[in-house]
Amino acid sequence: MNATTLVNGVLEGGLYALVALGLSLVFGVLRLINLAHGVLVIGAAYAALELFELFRLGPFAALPIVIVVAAMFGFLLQRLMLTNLLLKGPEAGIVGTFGLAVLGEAAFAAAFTSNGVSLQSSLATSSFKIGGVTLEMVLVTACAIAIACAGGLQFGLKRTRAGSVLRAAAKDPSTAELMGINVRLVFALTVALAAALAAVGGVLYGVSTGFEPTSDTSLLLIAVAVVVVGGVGNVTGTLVAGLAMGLVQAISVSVFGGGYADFTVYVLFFVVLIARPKGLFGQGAL
Amino acid sequence: MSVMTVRRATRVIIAGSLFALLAAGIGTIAAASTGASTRTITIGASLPLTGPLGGLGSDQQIGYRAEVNDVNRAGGIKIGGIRYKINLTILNNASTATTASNQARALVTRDGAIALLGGATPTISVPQADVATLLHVPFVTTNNPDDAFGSANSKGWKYAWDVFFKEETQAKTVAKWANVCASNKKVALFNDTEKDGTFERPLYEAAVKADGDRVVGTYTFPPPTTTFSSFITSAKAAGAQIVIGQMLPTAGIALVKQMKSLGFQPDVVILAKAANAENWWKGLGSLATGSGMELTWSPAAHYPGTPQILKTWGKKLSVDTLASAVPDFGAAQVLLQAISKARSTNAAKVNAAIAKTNGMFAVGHVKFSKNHTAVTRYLVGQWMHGRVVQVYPPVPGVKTECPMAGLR
Repeated sequence: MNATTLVNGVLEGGLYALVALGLSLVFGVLRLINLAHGVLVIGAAYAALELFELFRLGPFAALPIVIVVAAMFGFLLQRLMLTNLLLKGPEAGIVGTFGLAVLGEAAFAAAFTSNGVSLQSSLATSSFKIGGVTLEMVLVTACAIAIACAGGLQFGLKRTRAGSVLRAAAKDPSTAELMGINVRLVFALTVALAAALAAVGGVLYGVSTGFEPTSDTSLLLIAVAVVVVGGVGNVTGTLVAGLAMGLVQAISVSVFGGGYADFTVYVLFFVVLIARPKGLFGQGAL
Repeated sequence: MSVMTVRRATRVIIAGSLFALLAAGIGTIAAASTGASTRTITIGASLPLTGPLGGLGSDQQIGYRAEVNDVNRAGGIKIGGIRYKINLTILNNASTATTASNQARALVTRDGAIALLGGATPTISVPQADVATLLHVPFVTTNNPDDAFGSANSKGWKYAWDVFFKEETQAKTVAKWANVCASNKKVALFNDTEKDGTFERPLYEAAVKADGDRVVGTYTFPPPTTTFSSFITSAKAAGAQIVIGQMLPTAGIALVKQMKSLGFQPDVVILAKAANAENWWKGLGSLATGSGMELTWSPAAHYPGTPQILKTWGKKLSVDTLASAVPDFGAAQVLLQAISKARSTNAAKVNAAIAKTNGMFAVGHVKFSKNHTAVTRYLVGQWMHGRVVQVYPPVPGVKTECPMAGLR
């Protein structure tokens, strides 16, 4: 087993964590498995591609715009669709986001064709060496951003007033509302933040590899596995689980070959689900 | 009233009636003649317009429609003295085999299609061919390597026909092209676990060995895989200077990006299926320069109709799109020519006419063998500055660029 493979596997896990953070947040606060999360991730990658086509903006120049657009979309999604659905029960929310995922895939295929595409950046083809280990720049960047986002989110949730409000709304929405908290606004801002995180993950995913309209499905599955293993709403757990998933995948590919990469991840997912249903790190701040 | 007057009146009535009948008859014939120009024959095609095979399916749609439009512009097909326009009904199976099969059935039983054109890859085409066999409806397809298609029905196909290259030819041609460049003759094979990827891998192994090369790494992976660092590190450590593979475009794009990132710089890279879509260049940019691409058509191959194809489509479509769409154009030519030659829409007669096909089409010479496949040539193109140029078999004035510039 090669050190470069293992290290890049862990770094790849950082990308998984980045994609999973938003899912974990929505899961923790709204108690909703957002099945459209993968579509938000891939949608961000397509948005960056479109900005390149229209204005020749590179992926990282386009990133702030994509983040703002994704956050606005997330906010409106919660206010216009999810609020009403969730009032009818959690099943309605799951069905609604599933519908959105299907619609998103079809829309991407119609707008961009089903061909594989990619975001061009020199970051994707750069690397550097530390002690004989070659590190892929794009994965180092993704991992660093994942750590920064997780750290910022953890700090915000635990140490700020906004975090307290969010936690209160997540814990007991009815009581929080009686205390004067605008729960609907808090929920909408949560989905907006999750969509913004998905946008960051999406652009980095698009830079690191190729994507197509149906790429959301495999991303969603990995993200769900990361959230479950790390513990729902546990930000640190999500980060560690993402890194661990990347490492497990790298080891699995080296030992068993490429056919077992996803299989091993899902085996880990089921083992954790059975042995520790609340995840390896338990329920977090939410 | 005299008897004469009555007789005259009767004659006038009879004559008038006869005249009226005659006029009505002429009118009916005239109406029938007018109706002939609006009579149509329906041909059905269930294509993967979206999903993982959406790129191939979209090119198929271009090719099939182009041939049908050409025939309709020329007045349609004459059967029994009546001209029929072709109505091509295309459905999207979203790259799903079950949908492809159901749609093939619906096209025949619901839409009245008298023949079917097939979708890309055996995954889609074989279930459709099964439906055609069951319903006794002629079915012509392409984008299916011959052995995979020919061997898919153990009893032998009766109504299904395939026009494409042979897997063994593909492997041998790729191996020969790889040796055009001077290298250490060490080969790394990257294949996904799709049916064609699995089928092709041992053929690649045999072909490169036959050419005196050595396989130093064989890497297989399921389709959604886009992380290749462990494979790349292994291939680089083994000293591979030739990379041959077969995979979906997203995987191919990721592989080349990661090869560059990890400093793996083979001299020759050809990733069948991945590099075939226009988005290969869009996704990789100059990184794609020098990578190989499989072709079944190229302007340099000088197949019949090439000047006309370039004149009609050349300004609108790139060579790589044409390379993908022209085989479909050719398959539609084979089917429509057979209907024309059969002078009938009877399935058995059209099928017999397809079996007798022996001539030059847009995709080269087509003659079906006993397993209902017609072998077309396999050409290798190379991406040079955003366009594809045929490099193998060699074309006068064109030289393969070695080593692959995009990775340098």
